[in-house]
Amino acid sequence: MNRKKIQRQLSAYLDRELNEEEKLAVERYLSGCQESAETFENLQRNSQLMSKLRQPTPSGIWEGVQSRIEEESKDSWKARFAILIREWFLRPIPVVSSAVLIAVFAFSLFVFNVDQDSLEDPLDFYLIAHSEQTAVFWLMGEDSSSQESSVDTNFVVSDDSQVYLDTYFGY
Amino acid sequence: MQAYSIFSITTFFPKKTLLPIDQYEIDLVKRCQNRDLKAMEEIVKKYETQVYNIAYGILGSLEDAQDITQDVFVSVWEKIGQFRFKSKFSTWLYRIAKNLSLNEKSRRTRRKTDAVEIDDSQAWVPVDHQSPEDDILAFEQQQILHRALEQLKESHRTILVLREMEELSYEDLSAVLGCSIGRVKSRLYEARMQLRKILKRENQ
Repeated sequence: MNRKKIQRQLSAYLDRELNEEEKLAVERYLSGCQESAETFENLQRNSQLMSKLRQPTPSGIWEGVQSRIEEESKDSWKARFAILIREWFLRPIPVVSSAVLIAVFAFSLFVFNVDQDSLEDPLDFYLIAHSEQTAVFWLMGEDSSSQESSVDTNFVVSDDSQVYLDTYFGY
Repeated sequence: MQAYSIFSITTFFPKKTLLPIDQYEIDLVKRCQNRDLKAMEEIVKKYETQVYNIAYGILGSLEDAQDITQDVFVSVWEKIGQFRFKSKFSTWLYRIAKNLSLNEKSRRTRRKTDAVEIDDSQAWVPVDHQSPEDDILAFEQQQILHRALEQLKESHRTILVLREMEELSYEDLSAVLGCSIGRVKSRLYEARMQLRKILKRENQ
């Protein structure tokens, strides 16, 4: 095995990542090459130095994480509410269309304002007319000869009623 | 029969081997996905040292490492719903730690602050308790090592931190860094040789 290939395997040898055959080849080479042996020692020392960089964790990591999680969950509700407001109430299209709808409704109320008196008068008129017609029919009888009537035939229609009947029903 | 077994469907579509994942850890992650803070606390306590040291190795500052560690776990809490158990939870977590640390590093570099300076504002704690002289010597060596790490390429520094400080296997390195095991081997070799070269220069 040539020197360059062995050099490239020193790192994997250090990590015990070589198979048995490769491992033996590297060990054989290192025993015969002072320079490569020094390089390997160097790598080993640096590796040990780096492992000593490891530091113990400071206290309070979880407490910090917990407070941030709780804070952000509160913020997220606020943010969601703000998004809701922005999306549904402050966006121009829904705002303009809502305003147009409200304006049309208000305008229609104003223009097509229904006069309550005009609604009530014809109804009252119909009811009065219907009740009076019924009363007159019952009093006068449509066909008095065919029906035995207990109604007083000498009944005298008052002048006011006669005028009313003449005017509206042609009696 | 023999021929049938040779050409069985698994010959062409081999079964996906299941990863040896700790069942308790899976339950912890699932509880976290259901927004269980107690489970999250367990995860933080289990992995805080690893995450802290990845951040420290990449950033070279204890204070920043603490902030990034918190950022990593907050990010895990936010993104844990996206974890689909296709990899080990630890490699997923280390990937977040690595990415956030590198982002912070590049952000500081862009802002051209004194990011490359070694943080000596806080007491460095030697891992092995030795004599005071040894501590001083070790501290000086650590300073030199930090300076050397700062001079390395980002990819070299990251792989060295993950391998030497966190002792990740080649397989885990490949998962965290998103490259093949062959690439891990060669990158690790290059990083170590580069570090050796820089340290040799620093010690002269």
